[in-house]
Amino acid sequence: MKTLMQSVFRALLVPAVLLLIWELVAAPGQEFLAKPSEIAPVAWQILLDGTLLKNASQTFAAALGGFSIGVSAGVFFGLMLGLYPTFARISEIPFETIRPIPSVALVPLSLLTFGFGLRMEVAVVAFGCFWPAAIYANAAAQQIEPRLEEVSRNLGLGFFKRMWSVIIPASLPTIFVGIRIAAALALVISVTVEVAANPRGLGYAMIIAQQTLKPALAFAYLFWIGIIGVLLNYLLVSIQLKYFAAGTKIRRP
Amino acid sequence: MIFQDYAKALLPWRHAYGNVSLALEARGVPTKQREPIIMNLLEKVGLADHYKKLPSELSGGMQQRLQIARCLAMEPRLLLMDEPFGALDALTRQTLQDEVARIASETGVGVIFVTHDLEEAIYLGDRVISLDKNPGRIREIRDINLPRPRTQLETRATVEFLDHRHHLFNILQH
Repeated sequence: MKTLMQSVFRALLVPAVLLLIWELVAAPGQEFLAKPSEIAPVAWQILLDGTLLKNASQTFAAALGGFSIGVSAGVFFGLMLGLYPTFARISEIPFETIRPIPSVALVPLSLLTFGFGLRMEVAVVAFGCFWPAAIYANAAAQQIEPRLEEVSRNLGLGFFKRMWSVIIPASLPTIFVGIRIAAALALVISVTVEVAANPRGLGYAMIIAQQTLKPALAFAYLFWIGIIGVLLNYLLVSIQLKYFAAGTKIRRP
Repeated sequence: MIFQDYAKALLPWRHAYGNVSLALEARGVPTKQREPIIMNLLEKVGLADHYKKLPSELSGGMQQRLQIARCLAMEPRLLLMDEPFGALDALTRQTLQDEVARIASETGVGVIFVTHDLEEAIYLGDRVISLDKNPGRIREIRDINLPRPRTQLETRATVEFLDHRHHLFNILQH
């Protein structure tokens, strides 16, 4: 019991000190830096009255949609790159040319194509999630034990059977690292798109808070976005620990 | 085809059962019919009690047996074994030699067995083909007419066995 108390104390010490400094530094009457004591009730209120849930679910829909599309396409593309050197050679130039484009730079184009709303956000998120998935799937496919390829040929496995029973399970632990990165990225990109252009979700709620001069509200959203990110990562690490921990050095953060 | 590096040739995420099942899945055997076939094969190689273990939980000899079971699941007419027991300890090796001989006679499967071990070749073979090095041409084909079933202790001590061994040894010296 004592050690639990100690570890809780240790974990909370730095945040508590930082919050205290913040509270003291934010002078009364200062308009744009809200105090923690002002932010906390607002954060609690948007949780209770459902606005947080409404905005978060909009952001989540876009993040999840884009993540699913981007990761599936990326994993498939990456595996092909890793398995077929000829394919890797012919797609190297387009791959390396498109990859450095920041996702957010696609916002204007996506806006023209899809208009405001869910679809344009999904498209941008998918673009961003594609790359980590593709890069890790490529690396995973290259690391597959060559003997397993011989075994597949020996047993006469067809393309799909080979993919499903050998290639994908063998590369899943590495691919999952890419999936974790893509998931974090999906949240970042969707909020960014909302801040930059799309009138929906958590990002837009923060823009509204800014334009109506409610810094406490903006901070409250920021706080919840952080919490969502932590929970998401916790969930993914749990999955990783449960299924892919063997032989790796994954630790709970 | 049985590989020498058994540890790499098995799917590490599938149980012994699932590794044998892979060969049946490849052949398109329906799920319901697989179980008796798999258990029968595992029985044949002495792994029936270990069907739920992952390859990493099996010893080297057991992993090699599992690979043999998987190959047999393809119902092959011919097994190609490339130094399959090269990495095993002497005792396990002898046990597996006897098992391969038994399985071959029970199932009627033909076996092409590559080895660097003279005695292993004579002990297991009906016919020993010695190869020249560089380029690998056939040097001599020698029929082995030792009676079966052979036993590690007695067969290896017979005059015929030692005769073959002398002969092959001399060939390989030149």
